[in-house]
Amino acid sequence: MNVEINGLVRRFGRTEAVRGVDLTVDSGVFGLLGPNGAGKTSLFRMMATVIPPTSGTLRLLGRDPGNHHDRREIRRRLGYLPQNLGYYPRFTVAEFVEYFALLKEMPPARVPAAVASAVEKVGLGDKARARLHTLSGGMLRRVGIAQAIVNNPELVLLDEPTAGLDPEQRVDFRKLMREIGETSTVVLSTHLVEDIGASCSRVAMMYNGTIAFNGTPDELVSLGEGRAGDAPLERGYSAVLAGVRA
Amino acid sequence: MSSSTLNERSALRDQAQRHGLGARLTWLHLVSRQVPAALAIMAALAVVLNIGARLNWYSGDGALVQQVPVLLEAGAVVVIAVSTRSPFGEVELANGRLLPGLRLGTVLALTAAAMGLMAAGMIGVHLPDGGAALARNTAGMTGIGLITATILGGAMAWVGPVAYAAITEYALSASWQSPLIWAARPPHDRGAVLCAAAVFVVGVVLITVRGPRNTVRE
Amino acid sequence: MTAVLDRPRATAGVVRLTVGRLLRLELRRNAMLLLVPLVIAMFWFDTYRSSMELPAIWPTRLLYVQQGRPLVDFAPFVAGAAAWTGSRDGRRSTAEQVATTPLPRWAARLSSWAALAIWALGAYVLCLGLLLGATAAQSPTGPLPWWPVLVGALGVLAFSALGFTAGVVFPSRFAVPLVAIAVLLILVLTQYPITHNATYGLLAPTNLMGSAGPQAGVFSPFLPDLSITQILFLAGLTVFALGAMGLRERGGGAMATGFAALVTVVGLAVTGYGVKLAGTAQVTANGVVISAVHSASDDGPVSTARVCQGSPVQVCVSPVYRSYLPDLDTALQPLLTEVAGLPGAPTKAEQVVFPYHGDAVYTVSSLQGSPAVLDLGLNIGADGSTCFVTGPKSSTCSSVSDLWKNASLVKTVVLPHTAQTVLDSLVGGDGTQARQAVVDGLLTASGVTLTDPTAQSQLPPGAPRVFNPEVQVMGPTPGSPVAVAATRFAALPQSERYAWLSSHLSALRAGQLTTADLP
Repeated sequence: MNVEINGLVRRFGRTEAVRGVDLTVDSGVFGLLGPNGAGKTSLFRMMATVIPPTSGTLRLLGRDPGNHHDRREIRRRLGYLPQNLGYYPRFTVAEFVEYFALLKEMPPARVPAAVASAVEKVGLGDKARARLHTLSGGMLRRVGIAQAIVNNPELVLLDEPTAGLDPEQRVDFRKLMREIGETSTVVLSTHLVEDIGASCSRVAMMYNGTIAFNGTPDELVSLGEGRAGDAPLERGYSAVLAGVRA
Repeated sequence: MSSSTLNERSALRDQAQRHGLGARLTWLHLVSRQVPAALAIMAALAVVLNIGARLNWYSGDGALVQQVPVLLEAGAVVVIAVSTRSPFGEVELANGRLLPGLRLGTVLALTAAAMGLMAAGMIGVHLPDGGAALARNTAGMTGIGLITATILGGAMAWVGPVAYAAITEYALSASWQSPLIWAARPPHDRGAVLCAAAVFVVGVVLITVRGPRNTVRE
Repeated sequence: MTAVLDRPRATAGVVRLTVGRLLRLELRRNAMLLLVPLVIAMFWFDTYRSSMELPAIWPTRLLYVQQGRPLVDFAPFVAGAAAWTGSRDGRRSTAEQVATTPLPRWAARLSSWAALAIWALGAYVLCLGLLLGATAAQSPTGPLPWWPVLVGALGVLAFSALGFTAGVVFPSRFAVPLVAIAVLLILVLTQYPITHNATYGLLAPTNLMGSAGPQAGVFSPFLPDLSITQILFLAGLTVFALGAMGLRERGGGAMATGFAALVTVVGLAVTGYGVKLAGTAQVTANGVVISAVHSASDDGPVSTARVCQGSPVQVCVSPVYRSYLPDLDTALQPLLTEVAGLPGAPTKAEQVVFPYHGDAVYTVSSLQGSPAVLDLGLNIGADGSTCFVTGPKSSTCSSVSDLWKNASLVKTVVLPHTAQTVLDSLVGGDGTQARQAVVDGLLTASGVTLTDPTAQSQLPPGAPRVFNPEVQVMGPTPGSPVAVAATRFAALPQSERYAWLSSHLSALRAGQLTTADLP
């Protein structure tokens, strides 16, 4: 298992953002759904080794991120796209991706090819020399995806990756995620159930800091039978929420 | 109750609501520019001004007498200049019909606050050139900071006043007399006051009408 | 798939290459690049223009460099740009993204700082190179003092490191400009004289007492003691700032934290040693002496043959000031001719070092040895301008540089004080009216205009009393016996005055003569 989580808790002051989550994720594309404030981003940040858990166990790629050496090894194999992407406006697309490739301690000789490949994969090959401050929001998001995948990571964490992408770009993105998921573990946090349906082999739903559902998209769809909603996955999503709120 | 009375009361209520909203908007604008922090920094500089006088930094007849107060005034000015930066970028510009008025009010209020706080820093101590020179120098350098903000953006607006302060330090050492270096002139020198006032007015007009240069997505 | 695939750990070589590539990336996009034109413009406006107005003598031309002026031009902007660069992750909200990467944060930050430091130092080297090159093209004389140039470079590095660390610690929009102002304030405040009991202020490169002056290295070797101490202090500060930045990074592992702690401690220790050395400094006529780093070989004079001219008494200067000799000789020969060959009169006038931190403004003179030699310290190469009274209601102003190129002004600033020194020594002081009259008569004959002591009463009420003892000599009250005798004595042909002095000097010194005895 590339991600093993047992009884994970994270508190911020008096607020318990994550309350005893149990989760295992193997290779493939794994979706994470949930309403705002469910704890998805906090869970993501723990998996990205940005913040430590308050309690519980977390193992990533078979290693303990609480240990300094293991954490470094995990980070070499990690790709992370946060919900709010920061960037340096004066850098070009290629420079920004190169910067993160270097920070991820990729062998320098492989960096140019890896950067070119990552930029091409997100469809920004012709914008490689454009300064970041000249790009649209959707393009910036794709730059963020590029920096997350430049090191061919074994664990990719993407928080709202398709925000700002047009429908065609979202289709391309889902295809890219499926390709990466063939050899790596991709965890996708999104509000767009179509992304889940099109890319993910498994999905979990968070509500109020806990896992309310963990299964396949088809299982989620089946839970929503007979319910109102625009799409099957939405109906399943609503059904799970109704269940935990009841 | 007659309909005219009702209408009057309704109009008054609307007016009060508008005033309340106006005050609220002004407060939010000031907070977005980190004006409370700016005021705290200016107050700290005023304390340094006072302590410096008690430590005889400004006594004697050398250039130091004027150089140090000018630098402390420049400290207040760079805070004003940098506070022009908008954290919202284009969103604010698109919605900002009231923005020029808010910018004008903020700049004038901060400049007045800088002068007031630095003048308070003179309480109990003697600054050779006195409050008039302090006001003149602050206004003039603020104008430079505002002009720099319209050219380089709010975040880099400090460059102009710091460069001017460095040139002024040189001018004070070399006993220059140009009114363009107003700090080197006597406090009530008309030419210097005119130059400083002109630069201040130009800066205020530019920042009000154009705002700081929008270095995108700062 | 197995949870862990084998990937080789980054070797030291790979890490070096990584940091090298990061550096290359940072060099292209560093904020300092945008400010390089501004600091060059500040340097040109302040240090370059002022320096080029000084004579083409190396230590004189680099007087402002000795006083740390390039640092005033550079440091506020370097520190501001450094704070801007250091606060980048805070301002751009990239802190979390970079936190998820394995390269130690300290290493990545050091590459950002290094890029900034390279640009800042490059601009400094360019500017100093331009000044040195422009000077070299004028065939300057004298030894080139390199040490202050090195101190300036270390100063740029130190302020870049301190500013960078301040930006890392305080990534606020106000931190950047306040760092710039704080640096400028520190440099200005530390310019001014130290007290005798606390010489720590000498650590500041801008402290005017630390400057060896425009004649550094000409008469005695340039003393590098203070420069060495300043370099230690600034290098220590640089290392301390960078180490403290590394200590701040959490989660870097025990080794990284330990290394950062070691660097911080080393930096503190070196800084502290510099402070300790500065506390033992002594300001001497030849420069600042710090015994722990002082070399005895720097104690002796620089032995170069003087360049001499003039008759009957030769006026000799250091070959560095050869071009000033003719005017000096013209100014002094009338005086020297009046007394040449008399017992106790100078057999030679020789230039010695001018005490840069003393009270005199233009000239110091003294008679030394037997046979007597007139030692002349001339403030050639000083900066600034000067004004002095030339009459009851008149004064003249000149830049000090131009003063020494103007024959009549050289006479004004050299002759009065020197003549009084020589003549007072010759006749044994002004204890009697006869001696006073002889001295006043000889002063007048040598070309010195005596100041009317009653002139002050002619000025409007409230007018300031103006009398500069360096360039003016107070004469006798008009109409007094001394004045009458002095006028009579001065009106004689030079040969008659000389003959009378030759035969009456002993009696004059013994106080046996009255004004009636003067011809």
